[in-house]
Amino acid sequence: MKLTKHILRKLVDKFFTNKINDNEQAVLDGFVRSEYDTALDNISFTTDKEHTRDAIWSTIENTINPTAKLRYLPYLNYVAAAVIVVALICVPFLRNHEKMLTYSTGAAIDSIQLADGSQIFLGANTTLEYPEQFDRKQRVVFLKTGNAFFQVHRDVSKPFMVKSEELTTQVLGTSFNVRITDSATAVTVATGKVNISNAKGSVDLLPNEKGVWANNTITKENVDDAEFKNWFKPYLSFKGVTLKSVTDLLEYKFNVRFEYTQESINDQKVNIYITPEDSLPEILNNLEFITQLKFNSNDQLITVKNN
Amino acid sequence: MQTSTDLLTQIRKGDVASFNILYNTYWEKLYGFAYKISKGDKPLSEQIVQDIFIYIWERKSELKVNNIEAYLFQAAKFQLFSYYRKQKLDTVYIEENFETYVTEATLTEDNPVYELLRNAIEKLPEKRKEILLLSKIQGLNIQEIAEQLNLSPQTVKNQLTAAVKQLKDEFKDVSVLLVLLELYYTL
Repeated sequence: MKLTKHILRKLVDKFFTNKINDNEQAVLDGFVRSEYDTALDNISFTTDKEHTRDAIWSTIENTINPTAKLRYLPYLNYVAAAVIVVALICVPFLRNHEKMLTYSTGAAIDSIQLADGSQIFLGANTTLEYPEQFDRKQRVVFLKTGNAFFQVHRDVSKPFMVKSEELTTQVLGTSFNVRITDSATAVTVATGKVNISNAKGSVDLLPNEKGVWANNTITKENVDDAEFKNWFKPYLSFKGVTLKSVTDLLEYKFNVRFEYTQESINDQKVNIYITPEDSLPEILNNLEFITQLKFNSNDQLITVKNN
Repeated sequence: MQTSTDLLTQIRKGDVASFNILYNTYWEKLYGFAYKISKGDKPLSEQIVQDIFIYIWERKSELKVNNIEAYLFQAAKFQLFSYYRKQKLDTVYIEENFETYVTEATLTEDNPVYELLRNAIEKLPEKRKEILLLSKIQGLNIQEIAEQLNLSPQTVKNQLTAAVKQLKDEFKDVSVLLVLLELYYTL
């Protein structure tokens, strides 16, 4: 009957979040080390030891050296050749009919990797459309709703574009965040150089610059906070930061908006850490407990006020 | 176990046959380790060994002669912990093993855990320490301690509570000692 986390679980959690102190580390290491040192004392490999060894190795070999397989199945070369011939004939006709895939997140964040190696982190309630394979000349994805952080694999010959209803963001290889809300579309750059444009204009952005499309104009501003490039990290640890920084980050992560009834309450300092398992309601509960403020959720809007 | 510089040079160059030699040297220990922690889960143990070697291959340039086993051990530890956190292995089993380890460790001299607990207990005032040891190590109940030390049962009780509190206070940051105390001494 354990209502709280087991001690081991607490230690392991601390280990993963770098919050473990030396004493705790010593106990945890001692335990794992003793399990390791006695690992072969009781193991009973009967006849299948060689089999196990070879089975594991064969998977490793296939992963690290994919061509190894061809040695054993020479006819695969012919199959491969045939596939290439068919592909060469068909691809020119297929190019304009790229298969588009749609990916939507629910209440939690997620990430996907595209065919070119680019990595995209998606906030909650976000929808992205992307081709299964990219076109030869350019890489285009569509951010339909929500918030996403893009780490674009550099390929000078193929510009990467994020299109949203209001704005096109174009880069070669860089990382940046795109956030769509009801009233605005905002692009914030972490590394590299980014261009945003639409029918009304075009603006270049450098790291820590944010371009905003709102009220029918594009504006540019500097950002000095790091929430836009941190929100997708699995473990977030805040020590003595303002409540505003935490809620800014939550806005990116969960695609919600915070509103403070009084400006003065948003700069109180808080300590909190957030793990991938924590849902928004759980985090808000924690914040209520820490700050003694009231967090009222109404759909995507969270109002913060004095208790 | 030492791995020759030559073998490592070959592996760094991407030689799969040399990597196979490394694999054959270490796989069994790692497999046994995963097998033990996971209560004999064969598919999981295979998966872990696979992942470790693939991971190592991808970072082969970082390998150094004298740290290979340590490197593999760290990778295995990391994997097992994350499976444990995701509850992909029998958590009750590993938690019980942990408790057994801690219990034995605190009773084994020259074990670092034993040292930690001992040092903390040593700092208690003499009488308090005596009562704590009679209670927890010798397993006497309050009545028995009271008779032996010629004290009232209430005094024994108070001293015992104070001893535990003092140990807790000394390790404010939810340190391992507090953890150990919770384990043994149902507070």
